[in-house]
Amino acid sequence: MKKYWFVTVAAGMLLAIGACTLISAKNYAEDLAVVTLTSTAPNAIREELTVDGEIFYEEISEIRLPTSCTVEEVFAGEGAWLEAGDLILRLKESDLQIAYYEMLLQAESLEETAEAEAEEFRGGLAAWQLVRLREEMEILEELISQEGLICAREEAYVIYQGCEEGKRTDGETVLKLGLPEKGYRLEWAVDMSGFREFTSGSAVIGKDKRKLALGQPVYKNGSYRYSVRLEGEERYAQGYPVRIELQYVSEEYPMTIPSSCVRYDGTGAAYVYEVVEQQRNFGKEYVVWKTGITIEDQDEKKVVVKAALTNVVVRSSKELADMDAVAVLED
Amino acid sequence: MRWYRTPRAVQRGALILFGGFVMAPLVWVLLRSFENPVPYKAENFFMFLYRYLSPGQYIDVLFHNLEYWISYWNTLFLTVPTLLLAMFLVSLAAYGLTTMGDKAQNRILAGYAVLALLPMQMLLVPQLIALSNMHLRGSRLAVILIGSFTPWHLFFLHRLCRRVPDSVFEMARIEGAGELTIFCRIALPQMRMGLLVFGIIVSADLWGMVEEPLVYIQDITKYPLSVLFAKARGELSYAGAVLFSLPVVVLFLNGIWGVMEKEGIQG
Repeated sequence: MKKYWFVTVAAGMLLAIGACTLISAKNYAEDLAVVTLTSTAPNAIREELTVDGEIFYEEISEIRLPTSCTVEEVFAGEGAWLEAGDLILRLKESDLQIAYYEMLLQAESLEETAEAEAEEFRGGLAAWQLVRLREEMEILEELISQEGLICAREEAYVIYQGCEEGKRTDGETVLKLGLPEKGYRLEWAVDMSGFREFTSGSAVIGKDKRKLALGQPVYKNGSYRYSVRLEGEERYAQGYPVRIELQYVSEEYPMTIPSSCVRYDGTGAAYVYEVVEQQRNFGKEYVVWKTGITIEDQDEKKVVVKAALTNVVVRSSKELADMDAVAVLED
Repeated sequence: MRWYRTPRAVQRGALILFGGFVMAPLVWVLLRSFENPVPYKAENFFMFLYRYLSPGQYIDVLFHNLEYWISYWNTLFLTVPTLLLAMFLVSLAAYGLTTMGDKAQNRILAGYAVLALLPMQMLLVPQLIALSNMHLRGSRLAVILIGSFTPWHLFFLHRLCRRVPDSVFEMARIEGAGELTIFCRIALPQMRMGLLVFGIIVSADLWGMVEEPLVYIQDITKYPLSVLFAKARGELSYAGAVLFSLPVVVLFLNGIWGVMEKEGIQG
């Protein structure tokens, strides 16, 4: 037996090496993540956004009553249609005259104060107040000259009046008139983060769906405000809720990949895994390489990248790490 | 002349010192082979044990490193045939040489000595051209042949074969034995211990060969493990190195015990 000890040891070692090889091969195959691949392809970015809109009636002008005075007569109530020159209100002329003289006295006082300020190089508040006062006096002068009558200058629609006969106005009253030819407008705002130069849109008003002709939005307070005229929608009340569906379709980008390919590291930098072939002693092996990418544009399904990528991992059966060996699933 | 006898303690101290110096790299590799491949923070004693006394590296290499084992087989496919062929050819050549006259033997041996002294780099290109002409470049046979026909092998074994007295061969010839019979029945048994030592030394040399496979094979699928170690950058663990050297260590110990037993040396 001692004579064959070496042969026994050698045979045992060979068996052990064979067993380790088989187990390693089995574990290698089991450890592989199964991946599906894609490459960059030309595509357009499409995005849809749904926001709430509101129907407004466009106001044509505001007529502010410059002072508190008694309303002698109301000629046109809210909702009344007016031709150019139609009367709306008559204010008590004596009230207007009293107010005018009071303003005149106040103006004299302010003139003195303004001169004193100018001599002492102090502020300019009195001068500013004087300018405002004179503007109001001009309006009063015009009203007095018209014997307290307020009339429409063009065809209009009374939206808000807020006056009653025999009662005094509070000095803050503003008459709001709408122009029928401008009609109803649909307004909505898009938050800056979700803004695109939307190429088309439609409005769902009640059960109706209408295509919208989108114009240029106006940026205001962190959002983009759209205003679109609605033809023949007078039946909808002002403030009627509307759902706006906006679509954005970009020009065709030459290099896009599915969004599922993109991963983000701890710093928020985007990367993809590219599969490369490498020769190992047991044959060809597919290995994933972490490749950083620059995202130029994206929607929910696609990402636009700067450089062409081939064999990018779309889906993987396991969590991947750089230089992991993978098995590639044929399409 | 009276020799000064070094005190026993100094002798032992020097032995430990030099032995330790030689063994240090081996011990270091062996200790590191039990280090956990995952660098856990050793916060307490048990974590320390788990960090520095873990079979993790061995498990990784034994059961999760297909490349390692493929290369292991490649090493075996290169080493075993080379060794067997070298032993066969060299023993034949050594016996053949002893049958010649002293003058011829010395001249041939001088030629072998010159070839053995030539640096490998000088022989590399002519050997490569010869192998290319034989259409053997890229095959394992190239390394096997080059490894088998190494000049110093003959030089080494011839010294052992010459220890058999010429009269023994002469007697056999007179008795009517043919050259093959003399070689098999007389020369080989006489050279057995020499061949064993030769096998141990050559196998250790072949087990770690790097240049020959790199130059003559040039195919990653056929590279032995020693080349993989040379190319790998930390992927192969210390446990891989221990397992790689295990067959050579077993062969060496087994061979040494055999020689010691035969020569009657007490361990």
